[in-house]
Amino acid sequence: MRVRRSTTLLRLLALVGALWLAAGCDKDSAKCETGLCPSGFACNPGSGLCEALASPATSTSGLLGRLAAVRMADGQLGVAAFSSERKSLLWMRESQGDWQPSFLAGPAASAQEPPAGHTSAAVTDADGTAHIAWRRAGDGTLWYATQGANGWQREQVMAATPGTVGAALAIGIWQGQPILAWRALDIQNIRVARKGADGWLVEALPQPVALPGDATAPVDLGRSLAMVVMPSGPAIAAYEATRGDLVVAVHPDANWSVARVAGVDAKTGADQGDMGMPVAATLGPGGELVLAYRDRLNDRVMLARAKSGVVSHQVVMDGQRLDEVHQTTRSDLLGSVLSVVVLPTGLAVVAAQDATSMRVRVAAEKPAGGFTTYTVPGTLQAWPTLVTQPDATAACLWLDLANPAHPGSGRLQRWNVPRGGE
Amino acid sequence: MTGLPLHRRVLAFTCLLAACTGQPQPLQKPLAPELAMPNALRVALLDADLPAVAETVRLAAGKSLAVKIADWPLPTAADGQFTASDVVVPLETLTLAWQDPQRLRLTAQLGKTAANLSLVLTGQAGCAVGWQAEDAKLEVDAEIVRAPSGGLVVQASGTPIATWHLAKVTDPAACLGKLPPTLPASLGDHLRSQIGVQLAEHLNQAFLPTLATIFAASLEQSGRLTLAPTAVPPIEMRFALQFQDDNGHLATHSGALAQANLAVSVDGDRHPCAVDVPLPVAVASPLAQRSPPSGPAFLRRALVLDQGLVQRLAWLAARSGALCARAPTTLATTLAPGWAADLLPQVDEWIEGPPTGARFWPGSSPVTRLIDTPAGAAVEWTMEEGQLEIIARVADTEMTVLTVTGGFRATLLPHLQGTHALAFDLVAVERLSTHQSSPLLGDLATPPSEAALSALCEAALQGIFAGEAVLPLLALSPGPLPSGTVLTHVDRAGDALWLWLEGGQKP
Repeated sequence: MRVRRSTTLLRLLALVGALWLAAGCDKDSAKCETGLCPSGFACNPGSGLCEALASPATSTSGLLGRLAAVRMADGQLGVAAFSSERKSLLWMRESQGDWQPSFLAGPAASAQEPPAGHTSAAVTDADGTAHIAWRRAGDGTLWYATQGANGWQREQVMAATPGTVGAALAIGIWQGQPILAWRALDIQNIRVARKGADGWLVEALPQPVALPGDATAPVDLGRSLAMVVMPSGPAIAAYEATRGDLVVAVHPDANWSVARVAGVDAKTGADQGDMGMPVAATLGPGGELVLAYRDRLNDRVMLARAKSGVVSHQVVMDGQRLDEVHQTTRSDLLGSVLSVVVLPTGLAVVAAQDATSMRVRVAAEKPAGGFTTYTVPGTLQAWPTLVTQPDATAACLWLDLANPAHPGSGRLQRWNVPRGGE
Repeated sequence: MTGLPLHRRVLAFTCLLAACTGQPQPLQKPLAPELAMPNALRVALLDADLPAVAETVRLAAGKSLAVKIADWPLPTAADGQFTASDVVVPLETLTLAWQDPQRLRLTAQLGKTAANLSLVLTGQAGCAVGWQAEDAKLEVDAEIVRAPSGGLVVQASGTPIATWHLAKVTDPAACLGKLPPTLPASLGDHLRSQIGVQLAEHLNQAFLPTLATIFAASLEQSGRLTLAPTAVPPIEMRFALQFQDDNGHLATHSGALAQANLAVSVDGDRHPCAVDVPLPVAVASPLAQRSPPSGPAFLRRALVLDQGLVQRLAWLAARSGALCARAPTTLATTLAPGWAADLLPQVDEWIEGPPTGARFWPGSSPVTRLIDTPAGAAVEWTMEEGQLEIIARVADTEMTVLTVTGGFRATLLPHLQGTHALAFDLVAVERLSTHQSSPLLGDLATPPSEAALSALCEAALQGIFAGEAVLPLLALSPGPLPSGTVLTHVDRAGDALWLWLEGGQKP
């Protein structure tokens, strides 16, 4: 909501207040550029004015695209999603079994703002405070917001050159500060920005360690990426499109170390398939890196655990389906969206998009090994994401697209994964 | 490994005779006899092309041949002999004609030949004698037979026949007066024999390899070929080609052409995505008589593929999973931006870019036949039942956005890829009672635009058929054909596809 001039006294007062809020925040203002608007307001770089954030929304439907879900300090869920109806970034906060939606960015949040939030990522810090990053597709800019006591405070991440921010984005908290990773279109690589006292410090990931027979073709990294912060530092899992490999970058010291972990034989360099598009990441109870990734040629979802420098892989589920009419086997396009969590028991739960039947499948690891696979009840489901629950189980959030009135957009739904893969 | 860039080119016909993905590996066991299709592949040599073949032999042999004449001791006295310098024999013309169904005769018309001799008697100076022939010809025969070792071999047949007219010995210095009167005739015989034997040997050195280039023994082979190494699982075919004997002869002449016939066996493991359909029964049609496709050509012959072989290869490809095995596939980039607007208007706004892929699930086995189109001979490929899935990015996520279920008929136009390989362009797709739906929307409330749907299906099938294994047929390079062989024409006669080859170095 933008504050406007009015002839009424009340509105005049509001205008005065708004002018105070906007003081020093015109488009030439350094304050505006560094986002120093009062809590609950954000600087609109187009107008140079501070504008109120989190305009109330009335619905959690009309959504499209990936969800970014976090568990808040009070144990309730917060979900960021793109409203295709309003072309804006919607923040939905769980409250007493219902959702309280509000717009964070885009025209529904501020009339002057272009569509925003097609891609978003969210994380909570040690205090349970939510941090969100999103991409504004139209101008390729990157934005960041955190939730303060009086509302959201947002800023454009100036370290991310406008026009170069791709559609893959991740956020983490490292040493108490947000760290962002995104696909940089200008270098076809991943850039990482960490917030410091002097603003955002940005760097690009180095090339993966060369393997025998490595071609000289340029590396194309980050069409899909995921980030978690391990005890030793941030870890980024990403897809390398030139060779179709899953790559992991870790930051154990002052430097990044980047290696291919799937899709290639690490000893011989031999091609082993097209792995890692997409990839999802989480941490195990011991702080170990756990990845879910897609094996494209086999239509399989894989799970990788990195422990003590050794990466082990296992099949979670595949897209094979019997065609009883023709007595043949078909393969569904499985895993075009992935999400993974690890329960306190150490057992993994993986959610995958079946993009042929438009259903969500969830595989829960069994204590004795292997996985129990569920198909989430319903029809026309998309963009699943998993969250852990206070009772040490997992819940799957997804968008229900079965709404004839709003074709191609969905309503947020939730399903609790049965305990222990039973 | 990543998706391959798509070239509109094609359905690449590959690798039955040659391995574009590597040399064939040995069969683990021979293919079952019932898999063999007799006369599936033929090597045809038209009578009309025999003059050009003969000219090839003449060029290989040389336009004139040097013959060494051995010294000839006088038959009646041990005190003298005739000696001669080398004789040069002009090869004026060479002609080829089938003498009977198995024997091809090369006739060499020789030009004026003269030998200068010297009669040397003991203790005397040499005396000059001459010999000349003005009208002579030499005939050598060849046949293509099964060698004792089992392979095909081109060999000389029978004894060369030399015919001499106007041959005479000249004696300008009256050297022969003291010698027996029959000696000049004996001398002539000696010279004709010397020249004839050496000429026949020399001609055969050019003639037999030329025939061996045409009827290449290396066509007879068997093995395993990996057609699509990146597919999951990799697609492999097993094959065997064997020349058929006709009383020991492998090439026979009939009508206005000669042919060597090969029985072709193909087999492969069934992919789980393929409908279990037995091997099609196929009986090759008799070879149609026809004329060459253009004027004289250097070593021209045809490889003739019977329609039944094309059908079996299409069956094998589908059975092996070439249509549905997961392999890098992209769609042709021929679709206009906004391609989804006329197909899925409800979600068009959220579909990003062109389709990223397509999948085809066969519900039957393809049926092929050769047809003529205004653009030339083509293969018509019909799948009575199948499902085509179109994959695109929706909100940055790959999803199946449209499925087209029903029958599909594709027209595949052969063309030459470079000078060696045969490729097929998918030039048209016809939908046979198809039904469209979208996983995103369910059944489509309003039918999509016919034009947009046709364009999409064509682009999708082009992407799928671009896989090398979808109709594995033939790649002629680097293959078993003699190096230097080039493919010049493809056309159809009767129920067969004729691949016209020219050239080739002697094996």
